[in-house]
Amino acid sequence: MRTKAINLYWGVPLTLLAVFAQSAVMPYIRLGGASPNLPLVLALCWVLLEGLGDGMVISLLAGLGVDGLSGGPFGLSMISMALTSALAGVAEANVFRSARFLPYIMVCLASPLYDGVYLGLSALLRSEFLPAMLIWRIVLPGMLLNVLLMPLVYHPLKALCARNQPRKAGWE
Amino acid sequence: MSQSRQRAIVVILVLALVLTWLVFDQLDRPNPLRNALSRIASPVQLVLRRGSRPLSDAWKRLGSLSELEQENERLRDENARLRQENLLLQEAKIANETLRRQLEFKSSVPTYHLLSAEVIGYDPSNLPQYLIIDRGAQDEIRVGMAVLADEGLVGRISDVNAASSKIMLLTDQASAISAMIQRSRGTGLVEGVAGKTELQMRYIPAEDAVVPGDMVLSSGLGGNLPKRLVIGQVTDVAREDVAMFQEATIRPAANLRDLEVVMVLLSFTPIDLVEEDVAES
Repeated sequence: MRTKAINLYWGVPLTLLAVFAQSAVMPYIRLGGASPNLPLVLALCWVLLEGLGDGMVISLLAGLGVDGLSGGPFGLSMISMALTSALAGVAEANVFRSARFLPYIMVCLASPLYDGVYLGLSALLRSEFLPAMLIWRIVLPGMLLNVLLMPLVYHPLKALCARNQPRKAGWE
Repeated sequence: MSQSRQRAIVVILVLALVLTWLVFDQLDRPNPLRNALSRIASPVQLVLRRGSRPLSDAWKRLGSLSELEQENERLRDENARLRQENLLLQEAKIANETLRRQLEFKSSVPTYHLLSAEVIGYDPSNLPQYLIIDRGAQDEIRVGMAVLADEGLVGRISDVNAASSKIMLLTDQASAISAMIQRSRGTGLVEGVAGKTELQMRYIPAEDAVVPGDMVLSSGLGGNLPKRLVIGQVTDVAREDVAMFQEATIRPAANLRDLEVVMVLLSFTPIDLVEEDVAES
């Protein structure tokens, strides 16, 4: 069983900060029609470092924040993020826990999944098909940017975890 | 407190917030939760936006290095042409004013009362195209007001909180604006297309002449926007022999990706035809 190193109450302000940065900073770092998804990357890192339970809480909160600031339909980001984090958590626990490049593999899979769920639900709500070029304009560039963002979020968070991890007692 | 208990508390709080949010969204009043979030978010977004400007500028420079030379060349040509046009227009303006004075006409060009606002954020999702500005209801901003940049129309106010507002950009999928081709006066509807930076002008009667390079202005039809606001320029026209209408691709006049400051048009009150119908019935 994992030892929880970061208090979840820490995660709340951190997630809100990520959501605000997603609105104020990330849209200016564009590739095609996409910008990096900081709240999603943070939620994935949380799943990897603190487990599915806490990761789900962070993803729900991040989704709520994004929905609150977005002009899109309320709930879309929250559902997409929770679903993506849940699948990422299950995959991490069962498939590739020991892989060295786990964070990067995870974000490569989770990013298009998130966009797919978001775009799919959005099309469903509007009862219209979204053009296939969105894959080239949004999904793939978004994935690339999220992969670049991953080390900038994962490693500091991992270092924070390591610092807060309770030391094991033992005999010399 | 145990970790699972913390988790349960946060989950319950999030779910309660979601439910309350949904209930408030159904009421005809402004959502106080959205208002509270925007009150917390606005100052943080402003600080983050200003702090990250060097980063975004560097990214922009990196992306535009190859295009810079071509753009420079094109702008130099355009500048020369516009100078020439400007001279002719100034002459025409003087002649126009003289004739109007003689005929005692009122000026047909309205004086706009504009309020400048700083852009503090974009929509955090990739698909919806919205802007967040640092002005809200306390600055007399109302839903439906037109928002302009130096180059032309940017969009309309879609949501107003106390200290911030959301602008639906022209490029959003849900945006639709009555427009006309400046040269031929052909009218149509300018709509945003998902994932694209260009706009689509639909329902232009087939008999109206449209060619790439034509300027597109707001037509004022429907009473949502004032007349003659610059929307953009035609880049491509799709026409079929048997169709009643033609379509044109429009490049927005304002660069909607890199807006720092915008202006809200306060002196024009949009007409809500739906509400008027309800009041009459």
